[in-house]
Amino acid sequence: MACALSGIIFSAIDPLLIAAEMGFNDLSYLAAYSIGFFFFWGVCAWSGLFSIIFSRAASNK
Amino acid sequence: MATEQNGSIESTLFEKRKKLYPREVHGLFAKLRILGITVLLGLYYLLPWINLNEHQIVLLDLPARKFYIFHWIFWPQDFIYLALLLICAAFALFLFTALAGRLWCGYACPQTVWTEVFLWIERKVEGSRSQQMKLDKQANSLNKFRIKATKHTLWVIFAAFTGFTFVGFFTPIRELSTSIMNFQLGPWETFWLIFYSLATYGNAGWLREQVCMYMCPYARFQSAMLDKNSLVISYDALRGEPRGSRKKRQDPVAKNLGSCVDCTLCVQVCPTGIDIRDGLQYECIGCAACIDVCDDVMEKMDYPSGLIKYTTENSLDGKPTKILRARVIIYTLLLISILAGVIYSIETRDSVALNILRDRNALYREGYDGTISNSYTIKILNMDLIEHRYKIDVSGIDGLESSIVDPIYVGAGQVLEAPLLLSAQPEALHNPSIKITLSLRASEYPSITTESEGRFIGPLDP
Repeated sequence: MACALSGIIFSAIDPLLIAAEMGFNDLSYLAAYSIGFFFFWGVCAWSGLFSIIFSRAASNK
Repeated sequence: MATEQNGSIESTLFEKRKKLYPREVHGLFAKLRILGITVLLGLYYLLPWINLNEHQIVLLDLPARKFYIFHWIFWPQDFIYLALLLICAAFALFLFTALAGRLWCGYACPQTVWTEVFLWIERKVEGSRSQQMKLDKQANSLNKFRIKATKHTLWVIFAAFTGFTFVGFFTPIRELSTSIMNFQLGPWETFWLIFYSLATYGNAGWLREQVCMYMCPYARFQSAMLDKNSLVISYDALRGEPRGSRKKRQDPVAKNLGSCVDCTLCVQVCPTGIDIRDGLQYECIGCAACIDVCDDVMEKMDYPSGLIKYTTENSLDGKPTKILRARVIIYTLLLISILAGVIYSIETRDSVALNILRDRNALYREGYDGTISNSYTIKILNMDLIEHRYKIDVSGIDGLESSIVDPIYVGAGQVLEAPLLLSAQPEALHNPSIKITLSLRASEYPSITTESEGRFIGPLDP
């Protein structure tokens, strides 16, 4: 999922432009893509974690 | 898993793993799986070493934002193809799951493929299933340590080579090899090499079936794609039950037994440790190892094969099976149409792009002889695999003069940025803003052509 998100979003938007907007001007492309990939991975992991928390909360009621 | 504690049921997220020792299996489906593994791993490990047109045949060149895949070069503007290919992959998964269940999991998933290699190494070092179990039960000794250390060393070497190959799809693999040998590997290449190696070692060596059972989302939703006409691996309970051991020459009918000899070999060969005789379970990855081993047992017992087989729910219920049903036909048509459209579109896409950007510092300049000039920056993107000589013609204003000196050379897969000065006589400017068209064509290949439009700005009162 993170691979697909990185592929689609970073082909539309240059990750170095995003990095530059955030003040990181000396990042390499490999670094920008890697950080972006792990960001999307984190987002997916968070969504999974929230699904578990909410499903447990619902089943405990 | 649910455990009772102080009278209340508490759910725990994880069950303590019992180590599985999948028994080696031989048969038709094992051969198919080995064939699949050989082809897929062969492609994975060999492709980065093959060059085409002075480029690695598959190179995802992130720094240049260009993907070389066979004879195609993909640029960021080609991302629509990536989206379409992902849609194709989704439809292929829907189609194959509707047809024959978890074919992907059993034969092509990287987790299955690498786990099979790790299991093979484990068998070569530690021996058969029973020898492995015996070794694990033994008290710690120098011999046990030696065997375990050998296995893990081989696993780590294989995982490291896998990680190295992975990075080789993003950084030219020959350059990568040289960098490693000279200890000049970049920080992110080092990170990805270690990360992917550890992921392979951990997933295929240690986690194995837990990845399929707890981490893979497909295992959870694949049942939604199955119907009563999908081929799934099933145990024929009508024929097999009541199960029980017996001697080869004993008549099972006399002993009131079905065909299942309850040898539990189907459980021993299962990489996820399930008993297929309990029915279809989400843990089943569809590897068909149980079919192979059960057929083997049936043959030894002189019983007909197929006690465990690929069959449909309808077939087990004695109803007719319809393989070519509406969803299969729709998925197939959609998949073929999208795939054909993508390939056609890729093959016929422009191999050159031209952009023209106006210089924003000045609207126009007036020369000493009254000539009006506009300056621009042009970008020529050669998306072809060979260098081209381009010629640019400008039209839209009579007598418009261009500063471009033809031909313009642009290397394969390169972008050329050049200044462009266009000059026109004031008499030719009938409007303060006139549309101009730049036409570009490759000198040797007249079919390679593109156009770009811009505006020429002149005085308000020409």
